[in-house]
Amino acid sequence: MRRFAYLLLFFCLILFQSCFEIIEQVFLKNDGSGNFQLVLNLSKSKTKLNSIIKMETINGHEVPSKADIKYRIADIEKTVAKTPGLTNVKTTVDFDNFIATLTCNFYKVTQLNAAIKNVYEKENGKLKGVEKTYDYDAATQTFTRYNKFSVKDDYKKLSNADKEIFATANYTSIYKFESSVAAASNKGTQISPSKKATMLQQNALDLITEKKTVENKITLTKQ
Amino acid sequence: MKKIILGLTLFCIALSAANAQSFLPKVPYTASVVIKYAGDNFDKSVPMQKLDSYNFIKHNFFKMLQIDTLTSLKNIGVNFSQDTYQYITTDDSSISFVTLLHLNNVPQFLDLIKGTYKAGSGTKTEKKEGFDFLAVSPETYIGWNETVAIIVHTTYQNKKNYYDYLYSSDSAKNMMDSAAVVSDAPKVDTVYSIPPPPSKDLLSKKSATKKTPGKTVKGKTTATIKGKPATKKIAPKKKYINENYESHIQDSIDNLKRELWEQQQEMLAKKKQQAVAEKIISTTLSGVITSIETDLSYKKIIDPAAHASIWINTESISKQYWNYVYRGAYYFLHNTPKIVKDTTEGYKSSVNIYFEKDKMRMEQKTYCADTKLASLGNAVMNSKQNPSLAGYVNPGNIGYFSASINTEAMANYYYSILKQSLSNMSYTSEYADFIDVYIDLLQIVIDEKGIAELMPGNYLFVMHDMKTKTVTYTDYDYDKEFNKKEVTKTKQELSPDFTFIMETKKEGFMEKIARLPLKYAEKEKYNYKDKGGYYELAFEEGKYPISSLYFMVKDGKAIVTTSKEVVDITLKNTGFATDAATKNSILNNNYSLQLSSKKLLEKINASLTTDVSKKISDYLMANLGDLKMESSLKDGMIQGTTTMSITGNHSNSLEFFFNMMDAINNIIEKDQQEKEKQVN
Repeated sequence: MRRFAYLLLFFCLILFQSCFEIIEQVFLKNDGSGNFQLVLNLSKSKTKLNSIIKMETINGHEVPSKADIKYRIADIEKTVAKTPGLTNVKTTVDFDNFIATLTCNFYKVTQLNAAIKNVYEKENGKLKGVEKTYDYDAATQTFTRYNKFSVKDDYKKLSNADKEIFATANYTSIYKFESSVAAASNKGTQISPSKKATMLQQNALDLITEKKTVENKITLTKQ
Repeated sequence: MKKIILGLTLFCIALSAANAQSFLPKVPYTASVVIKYAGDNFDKSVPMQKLDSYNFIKHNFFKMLQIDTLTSLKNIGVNFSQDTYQYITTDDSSISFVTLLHLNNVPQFLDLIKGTYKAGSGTKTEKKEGFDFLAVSPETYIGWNETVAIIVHTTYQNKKNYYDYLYSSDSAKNMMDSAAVVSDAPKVDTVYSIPPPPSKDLLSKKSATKKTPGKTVKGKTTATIKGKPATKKIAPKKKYINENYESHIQDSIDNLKRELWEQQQEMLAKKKQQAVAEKIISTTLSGVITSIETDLSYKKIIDPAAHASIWINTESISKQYWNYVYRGAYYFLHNTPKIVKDTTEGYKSSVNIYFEKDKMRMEQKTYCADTKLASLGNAVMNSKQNPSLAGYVNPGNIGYFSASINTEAMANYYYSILKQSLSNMSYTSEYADFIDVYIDLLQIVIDEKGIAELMPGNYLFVMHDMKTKTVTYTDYDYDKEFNKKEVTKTKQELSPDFTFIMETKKEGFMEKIARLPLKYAEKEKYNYKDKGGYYELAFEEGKYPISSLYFMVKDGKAIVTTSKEVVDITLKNTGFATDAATKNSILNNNYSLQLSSKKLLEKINASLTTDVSKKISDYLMANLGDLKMESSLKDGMIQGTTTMSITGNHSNSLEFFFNMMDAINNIIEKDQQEKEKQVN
């Protein structure tokens, strides 16, 4: 029966295959303060999304309205803005291109951890390990990106239709620094010619299935 | 799932039967659905050895049936050289799905059943008069003798609702209680110790009484409530604690009562179900049955030579469906739907399936013995497709669907059907005379002729092509320092190119509708323009898969299309060079459908991103042929033929289905194995 269902699903998938990208960007100054930006870019799927957003449900999931999406993003903005140490918190949603962004400034990179935890708890997330995402040790001039939680088991439980969504999705991490980068632990990291920036581009499915990781320890040259 | 797979397995193995000895005399005339898997020819089409060789049968069905992979389907005790029948019947307020199998080895069959229903509650075989009986679950029962096995899956439909019982009159309640007494005592997992609720006197004195709460009464947990005289006065401010506690106890007692009551209902239902199953099995093996074979409609529309056939009492099935759908509403109204046996000569439908060498052919027939109803139904089909519509089917199209029905006759038909249905429904039958008057009034108010002029009943949908369209999207490019820059990129997407045409004799009215959006276009910010003879709704470039939708009303046709070419040929009063076969099919049938699977798959293949989808698509492209359907009135019956042609290396179309399931299963399994390797 599953096979017949797959046949039906197959025809659905060709209509609803989506493609998206998440970009995470951190600019870190030597004093530990900096700027954070998160971009969710669904523009490549915008023709499908323009149709999907008019639907009630897809793959058994409720389709939120534009107003719902705006409300949820505004809610996230409020939660992040309430986090001590974070300033200039802004969110944008572009429904023409289906791009959403969140930007903020921080005094300490660990304040981002608190914001991530607060947002996650507000959304009733059940994963463990979201407490620590970033760390910066000024003494050793080391910036660390952690990934303590695993979604592999949850991914396995997803329907084939839902799994398909991640097949062509990408995750990009860009970290910029005032100091020069001496080394990066993640082998996929590209270091810019000036050595002031790194970029890691990965397939979302590889990250979910833990074939690859976003974890990275970037050592900066001491001033 | 298990039941579906078991059903499918039975279907698979039944298809391999030969030398048919019909079970038809054992199928009662009251059946609402009868499925026959004829034995003739199937052993030649897909031999047992071939069935055994399929991976999905070995690894999925065998596993589900708890059979080891070395066993052959030959050795599961079922005699495949005989016919298999399945039917649905409603008896004693239970809907039963019955499977009739011939056996050649009872121990082997028992091994199969016991393995399959291992987790079932009852596994003890009972000796009945002339057969052995096994209750494998409260809904599923099997009876057999040396040569025949009957599997009955039955569900009692008149289960009472607790709130119906709770708020019913005392007499009804007493009846329920006494009914419960004659049944076996309900099985309660845990012993409950609940004192009676405190009296009013006691409650009035509660401020002077201190209670020591026992364990909470919830579900099946043990509950003890002990009260002891107060030794000192309790302050009035604590009164709310006692009130909450009291209400909590009452809730728990209510929950417990409900649970016990529901257990009783389940037991009553089980007894009813078992009684129904026993009756069906006993009657099949030794009783006298008025068979469906005596039913004129069965003989008329079922072909004994078909490789498989399905007979449906349409009315009876729709009643069962609506009873099921409205069950919740009935309960809400504190009432229960009654199972009403169909006594009217409504429509009976059939599908005769033939697995031919290069195609699967399905012959559909619909017959009504009631001449009045039949003539009303046949009048709906008294319509011819407008020849000018056929000219919109372009050569090389992906598919089309043409429908030609008599709208006025359709309205008249529905008045009769509505009267008949409402008069037969349990809740409305007593108001049949009112319904009759109401529907007559409706008929006077509604202008069927007017509706028929607006929409005479000729429609055509054509999927001309699936073109690729360039759409833009926003992406990011990065410089050497990984500074991102927003850029606009393009990609190719599939864009459907289609036309929908409806014949109309009220051009003026349709033209008014087409003009209507012009006035509001600016205010509502959409791009709808009068282009002189047609209207164009233009979509923002790159935002939707289609660029424009065109609307036009001309020469008795209302057209909605994505194709400018269609607009142009309509303006020039020309048409596509439709091939003769397509034209004939459209003009000589009430319904005509064609879908070129290959063309469709070719078009969508380009947009597939995953390997597994591409592999399945490639397989289907190499093996799947075109789908065609035609339906019209022949010999006083609505008759249709659907064919699905096959290509590739298959002995026949039945084998193709097995091969296809196996191939797709293998592709998916392989992909999953590869993914699991990546995950682990």
